[in-house]
Amino acid sequence: MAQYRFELQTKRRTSKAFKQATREGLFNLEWYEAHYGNFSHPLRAFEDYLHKSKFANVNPSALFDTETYLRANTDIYHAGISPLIHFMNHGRYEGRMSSAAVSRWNPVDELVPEESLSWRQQKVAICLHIFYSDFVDKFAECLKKFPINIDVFVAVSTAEIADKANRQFSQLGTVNKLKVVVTPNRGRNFGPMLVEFGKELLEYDLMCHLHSKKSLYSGREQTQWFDYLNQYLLKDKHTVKSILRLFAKNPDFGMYYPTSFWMMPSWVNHWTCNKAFANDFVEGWGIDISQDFVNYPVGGMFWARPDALLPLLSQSFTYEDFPEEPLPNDGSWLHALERSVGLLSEKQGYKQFFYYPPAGRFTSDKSQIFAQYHKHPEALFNELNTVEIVSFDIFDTVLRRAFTEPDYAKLKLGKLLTEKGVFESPETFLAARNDAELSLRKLKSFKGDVSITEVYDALANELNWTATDKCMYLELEFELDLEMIKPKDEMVNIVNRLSDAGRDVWFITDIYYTHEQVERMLRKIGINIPFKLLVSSDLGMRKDAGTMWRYVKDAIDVLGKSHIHVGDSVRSDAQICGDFGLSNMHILHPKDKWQAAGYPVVLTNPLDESQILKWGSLISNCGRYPFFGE
Amino acid sequence: MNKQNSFYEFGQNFLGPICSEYFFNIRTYCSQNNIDYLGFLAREGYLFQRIYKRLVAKSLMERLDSNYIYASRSFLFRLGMANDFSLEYSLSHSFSGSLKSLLIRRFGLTEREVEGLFNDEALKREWELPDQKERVKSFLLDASDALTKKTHEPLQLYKEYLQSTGLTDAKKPLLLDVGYSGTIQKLLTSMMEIDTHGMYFIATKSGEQIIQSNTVTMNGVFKSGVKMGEGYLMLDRSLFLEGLLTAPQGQFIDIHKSKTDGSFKFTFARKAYAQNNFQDLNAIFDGAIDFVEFAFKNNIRYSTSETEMLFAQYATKRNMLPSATWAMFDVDDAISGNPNVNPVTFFGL
Repeated sequence: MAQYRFELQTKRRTSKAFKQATREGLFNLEWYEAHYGNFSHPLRAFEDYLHKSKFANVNPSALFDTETYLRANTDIYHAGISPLIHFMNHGRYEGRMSSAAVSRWNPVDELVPEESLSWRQQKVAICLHIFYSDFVDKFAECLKKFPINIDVFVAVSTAEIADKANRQFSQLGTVNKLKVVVTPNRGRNFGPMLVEFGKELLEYDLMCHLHSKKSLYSGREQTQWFDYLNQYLLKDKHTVKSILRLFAKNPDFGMYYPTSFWMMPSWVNHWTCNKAFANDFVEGWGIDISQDFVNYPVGGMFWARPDALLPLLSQSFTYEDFPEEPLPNDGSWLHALERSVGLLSEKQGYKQFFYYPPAGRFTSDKSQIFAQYHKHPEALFNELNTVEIVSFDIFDTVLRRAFTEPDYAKLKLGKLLTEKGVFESPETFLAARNDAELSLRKLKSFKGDVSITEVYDALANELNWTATDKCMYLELEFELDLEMIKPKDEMVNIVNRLSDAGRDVWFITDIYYTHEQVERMLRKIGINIPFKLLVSSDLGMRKDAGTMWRYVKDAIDVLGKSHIHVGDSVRSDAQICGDFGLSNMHILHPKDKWQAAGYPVVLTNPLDESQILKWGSLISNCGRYPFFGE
Repeated sequence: MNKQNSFYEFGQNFLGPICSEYFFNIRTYCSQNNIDYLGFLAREGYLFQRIYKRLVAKSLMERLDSNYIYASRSFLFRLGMANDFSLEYSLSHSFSGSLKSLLIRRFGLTEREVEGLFNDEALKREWELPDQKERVKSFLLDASDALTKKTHEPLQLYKEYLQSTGLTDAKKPLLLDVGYSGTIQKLLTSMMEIDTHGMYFIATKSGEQIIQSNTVTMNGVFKSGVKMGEGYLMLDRSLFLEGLLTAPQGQFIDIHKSKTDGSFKFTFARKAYAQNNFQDLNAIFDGAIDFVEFAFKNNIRYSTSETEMLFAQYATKRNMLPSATWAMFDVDDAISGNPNVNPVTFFGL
């Protein structure tokens, strides 16, 4: 208590803020300690919050939500100001958005670290990659307080940094063995670790890998992402002890990292465009990459049991095995490797576990990757209602198919044509139909788009159909699909309400259907408002190629209005859209929501009607509302 | 927002596969065992009867004699207050409180009836069940004359009612209920002195059992031989099913006969949330019924592990349940003497 009184008097500004926050209930010691552990005195707990809230979504009490405040007021986030202090002194008088603590995700289990004799006996390697000199100091501060002795492996970009690292780390009482290597700028953080230290790391019970990281996705130089990962991997003594205890107690735990950084896009755990680069890992390690969202250490920093990464660490690498710089922002072998290490540890028979800072809990609940997909329909409406133009993707955004599978209408048409003797089997029709479309795309060198009319013209030519048959089959494909089209009710309501509230509503879709056909579909699901409709086959521009977004960007710039796009495709509706500087909101495709709910992969064969009937409607129902929290 | 469709599709996903598998099993069991009667036990039987009627109407199941049967443990326990066999069941569930409270809550007696049966001192006496089961049983059996007098008329009336449902005329009746230990089936078997079959989602013990001189055959579709608290999620969290699978009425508690036309008149206990908002529950049921019909038409089968997996997502994650459904799970836990229980909060989702 004496120390508490002393600090109250000497830390006058903090002390004043603490007293005010406590008086108003905005900081609640009991609540804070219940979530984040005990502190030597109340002011320490408050200081802990002030420090962490600059980069972590911890809350000071039930009355204030750090994440809401920083998301709504990104200037405060970028300035690195503690949100509660800003709110108390300025934000509330400026009318800035704030809220009481929000429960976005509840882990289904809680891993409780238990005291044991064995956790201190574990042989631990810390493997660092340091590109920026100032990170030597940051890491040294963490290593100094590490709860047990460790061996440290450091890859650095220059001889100067090597000298600095050697000087500082060798003086630390916690460091037994130290190895510092100057490495070329190739393979980012993974390259040097695998080339220089891979096999040596296999001699350890545990390894922890971190690297100096300054840039966020936007390219803006910020350290919050690193601070967040570093805090819950290496810096926080309580967390580190807990990690060591959990690994010691659970020999089947193979990998640990904190839940994905909360200010990243909600879809950060998606494979995006990286699956094509993961073939090596699928073939070599036998990992399954069929799910679109994946648990992986976003940012490439993690703790692991080296045995869980044995096939990776035991492989001999040279720097030439890694792609040369400059690397793209996304879409490379290294991006695929980062997404594969968690799957590798599972393939090796281990589990992953995580720390979720808002709840202060360790968990093995893998649904953490969907924590950002929690939104009540009313909140979604309110969020979109702040913008002048709201554009929506159509398929799986405002409408869905009764059996989810997009090719089911074609399969049904194939059955009809087989019965008529036009095709040998539904499968041969489907193949011919899709081949015709692909051939047309090749003919156009994958520029622009292809319409259903062109597809059936090509089929008719190839198969000598009459004009009447061609028109009938084309119409049948559309009508069979139309028959199975259902509204995503909550989304349709929101669209109509936005229009009623005076917002401009646009629909933007990559589809082979004609403008008129798409209009019929929208009418069928209950869209009865004025809207602008951009159909790829009609305009010859596509979202996934970026051409549509160039067009949209120019159109919106001319109008000078605020805009947001809503869609279910991570690539087309979010990532590429964002590349053009357009605001966007990703929503879950029904199959993604099915995965997020914890269901296994079930719809694997678009030609298997029994599978479509068995699971299709369940997935469609599950994904009707594209968030959790309906 | 879109409440009715949300309920309907929730009914399809949550109840659809589990009910379709239940009925596929019933269909097979009926044909393999020459079942000639289906008894839909209140309250789960309400949905089951609707599903059955739909399947029969669509020629997806054979038409058998069938009826919805008003029955509840509380009412049957009351009829068996002076019956050694029945008391074995009625006193085996945990309880803590006075005799008066036990008689009112578990046996459904009114305060006036209770006060007419025992003196004040006896009524105030506290009991712990099942620890003191034998002592409570002897205490009640000592008063069997008075209790028999009390139960004789409703017992005869209820037997008459059961006869009117066709149950007693059937050679091989199959009683349909969610589960689990078959108490109602056993009590009805004993009371009517007939052999019965029962089909449950889960049966704590399947197979044949001799009840006095009759045979009770129990079948668990998804699992047999498990008990509450042993880690089988579909049983441990069966409150999610019990809450939803209910009839428009509260628990059946009494039967009378009209003095004018001789028809049976039934009395029910208080309604839970789902019963007070039955239009919402109906939307859930509509989804389930349509799904079962669809599954039967297309012969869509779910393995037990798939059914368990589908159930587990809902029973372990709050976010999986549309918020409008949360209150629908309220269960009237009369047997334990507790107020309504809601599994969403009970299991800390």
